[in-house]
Amino acid sequence: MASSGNGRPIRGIWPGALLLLLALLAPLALNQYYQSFLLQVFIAIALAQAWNLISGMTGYVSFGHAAFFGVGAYVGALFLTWGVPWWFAVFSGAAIAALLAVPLGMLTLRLRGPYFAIAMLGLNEVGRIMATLWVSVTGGGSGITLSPKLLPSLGVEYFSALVLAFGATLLVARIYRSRFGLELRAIREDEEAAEMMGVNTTLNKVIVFVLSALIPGAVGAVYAMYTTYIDPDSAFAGARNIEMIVMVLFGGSGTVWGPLIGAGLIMIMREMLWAQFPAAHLALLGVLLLVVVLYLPGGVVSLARRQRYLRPDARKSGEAPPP
Amino acid sequence: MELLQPDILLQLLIGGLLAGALYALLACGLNLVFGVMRVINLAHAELMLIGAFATWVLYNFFGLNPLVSALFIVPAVFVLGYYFQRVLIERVVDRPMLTSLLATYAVSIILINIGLLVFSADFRSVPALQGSFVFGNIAISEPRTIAGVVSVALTVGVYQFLERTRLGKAVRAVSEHAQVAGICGIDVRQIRMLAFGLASAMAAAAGVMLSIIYSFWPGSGVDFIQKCFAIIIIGGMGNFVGALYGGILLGVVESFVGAFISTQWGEAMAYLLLVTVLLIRPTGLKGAPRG
Amino acid sequence: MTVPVCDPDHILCIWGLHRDFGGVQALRGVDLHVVRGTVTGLIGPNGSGKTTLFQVISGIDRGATGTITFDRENIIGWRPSQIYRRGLARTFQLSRVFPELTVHENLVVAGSRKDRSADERALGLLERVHLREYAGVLGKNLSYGQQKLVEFLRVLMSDPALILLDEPAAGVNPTLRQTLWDMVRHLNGLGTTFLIIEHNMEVIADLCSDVYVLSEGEIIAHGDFDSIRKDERVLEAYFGKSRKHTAA
Repeated sequence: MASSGNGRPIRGIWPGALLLLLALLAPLALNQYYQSFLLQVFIAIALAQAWNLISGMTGYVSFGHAAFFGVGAYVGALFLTWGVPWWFAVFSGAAIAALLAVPLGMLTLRLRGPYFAIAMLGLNEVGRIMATLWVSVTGGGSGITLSPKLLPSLGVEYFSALVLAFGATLLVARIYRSRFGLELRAIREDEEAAEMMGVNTTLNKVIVFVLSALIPGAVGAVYAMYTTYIDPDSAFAGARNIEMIVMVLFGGSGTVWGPLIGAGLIMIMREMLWAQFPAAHLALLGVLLLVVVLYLPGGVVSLARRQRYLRPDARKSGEAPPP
Repeated sequence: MELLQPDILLQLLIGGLLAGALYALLACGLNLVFGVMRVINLAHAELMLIGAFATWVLYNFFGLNPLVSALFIVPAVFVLGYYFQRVLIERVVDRPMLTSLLATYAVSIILINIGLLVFSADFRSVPALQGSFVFGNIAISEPRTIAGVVSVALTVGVYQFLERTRLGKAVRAVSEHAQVAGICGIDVRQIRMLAFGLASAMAAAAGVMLSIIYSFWPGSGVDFIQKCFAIIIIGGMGNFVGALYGGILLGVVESFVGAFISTQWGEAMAYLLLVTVLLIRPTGLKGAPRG
Repeated sequence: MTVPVCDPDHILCIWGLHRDFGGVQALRGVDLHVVRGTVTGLIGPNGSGKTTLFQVISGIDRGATGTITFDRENIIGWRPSQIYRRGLARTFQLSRVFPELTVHENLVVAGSRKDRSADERALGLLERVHLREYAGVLGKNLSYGQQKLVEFLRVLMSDPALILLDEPAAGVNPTLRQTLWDMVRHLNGLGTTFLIIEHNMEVIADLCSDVYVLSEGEIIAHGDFDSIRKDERVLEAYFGKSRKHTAA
């Protein structure tokens, strides 16, 4: 197997390539309904990986990250109504979300763990309130409706979402193996000690925060194109916030495959429940989250990893290793 | 501005104080849990809603006056909280704070959605009390007055409990230093369960009061929990009296901002205050610096 | 107020260091000089302020007044990462190995970004202490003694000129302890200066050419181990004023 700089082998190249291939070919075989479903799965994957970057890898658990998605959705929709090409709208969604993330990150990342989480908790709501109040720009409660003339085809939207999902996953994988990722994980483990080891914690945190905002920004714009109508409740839906968090924790926070698996499984579950029982779906997510937090903090991925990284002498015999 | 008349200002002030009393009752409970076991209970507002919906049910199906219902609901939720602590929270007290945040976040999601399944997203209210007290040019609604007064009474009552009684002092001892309290013979686990039960009861009481003055739905908790955070961070995490003042302060600020700017901006105050205070002083404006 | 000039032979110069914790004076006018290339010991009864001193020197505690000159630069007010990159490293009393990172990763992250050979250096260091096969083990799966050893190796990654060791052998079994002290000796031979907090007098006697004694925030004695051992004030600090009790 190929090896990377820090001694960990790259797993999952072949399964990953296979999935990508299937995803690319899917539109040929599937009808619109399933394409739409996959599109939503891709959106979920991209969001999950973005959350994974700041919360899973760096340890700054953000409870309101869906706000960036909402920003991207509105920015994308607005730009589209002004007649720009769709890719520019997506790009703008990402850019504006990232721009907002800079001052926001510099302010909130100063706070330690739980305080950061609390500060971010209200962000999504703030977004929703602002979208409702800023009527001149956002259309307030009536939202923004996009006429089909302005929009690309479902196929284009599908591929955009796929590119974003794949790109986000690739980004996480790349970062994970890089020096930057190592420093992020060190920050997660013990920020003060990392600081002592020469890691520039502030710069690293802000960079990853911006990256984690940029992706939802882009994805939000794609979402707006796909649904053709957004309003404060759909753009800043609380449910999306919850799903982002549970998908990553359930799948395996801080890993590359975890968010992917978590997003996939939960989207399937959602598909079965949401249409009829949205509340049941969310309640189940709550239960899932609780179970994961209490009994399986490493997520689904940790089930496969249990046996790895033990001490050499622990594996040789059944007895307790010498101290 | 036509608003700057003494009568109107006084009315706003009183309205704010009464609303703030409710916030204080709720926030003090949350703060109590944090102080005793360093757990941030994100499901606290949903405990309040349990009280509110229970009141609604008893009112609509049995015609019970909310104040009477409270006599049943509050103790019942105390017991609920007590066992909830035992079954769930005890498992996360030793873990990092984020674990308890996530766990209680999960519980709040579960509660909200069970609420939606049972009661749907329709707004409910309990218009059991009507009328207003009139003093000259000022009219204060009766339900608000009662809610405010009861809230203050309960909050002060709990404060007295913590200050004066032996059990209350044991609770405070555990808040200060759990290990030492344990060595001194205090059953720390029991105290934690008691504290959580008490906090839940306070939340439920706030819920009963809530039901008579506002309309609510299972998702109402989201706003309230934000306000609680703003309050306890302003007042100082773990500082009981700080949360009391903070709650009242928030109520008054909301009242004035709501009148002078807009009600929606009034609603947004809590978020803005929260972020501002967090950035200026994570340890709160009053109270001793803590964890 | 003039700042005294630090002797070029002294890698670390501390003058008049005061640290107040709202009424509790943890450090009262500490004067301490570490000569380049030595292993200097810092001893004293519990609570005398030794760890506080380390916290201040390494930049974690920025609330002290006084002067600290490291390698001719005044480092008071510097951030810990800056101090580390300048060449002053420290270990902690309780192991702060990153639990979810592998041993190898623990070491590499402590090296400079520009260091292309960080991987090999990390492995080389592990080799010296016979922990090469543990490179892929997660920090949390190590025994306490191994963690302390890894923590020690970690600070070596940036090739510091001065290393502060805070009770590096506490809680470590004798075999690993010996490995640790051998490495200190070896590195010292290559030019690295050490300032060590230790309670084990045998180690101090064996390793340190210069010893400072800290008691209640003040330096009460300074010299080689033999003279320290016999110093009245030092005995007082450790055993208390009343001689009557020593017979019991």
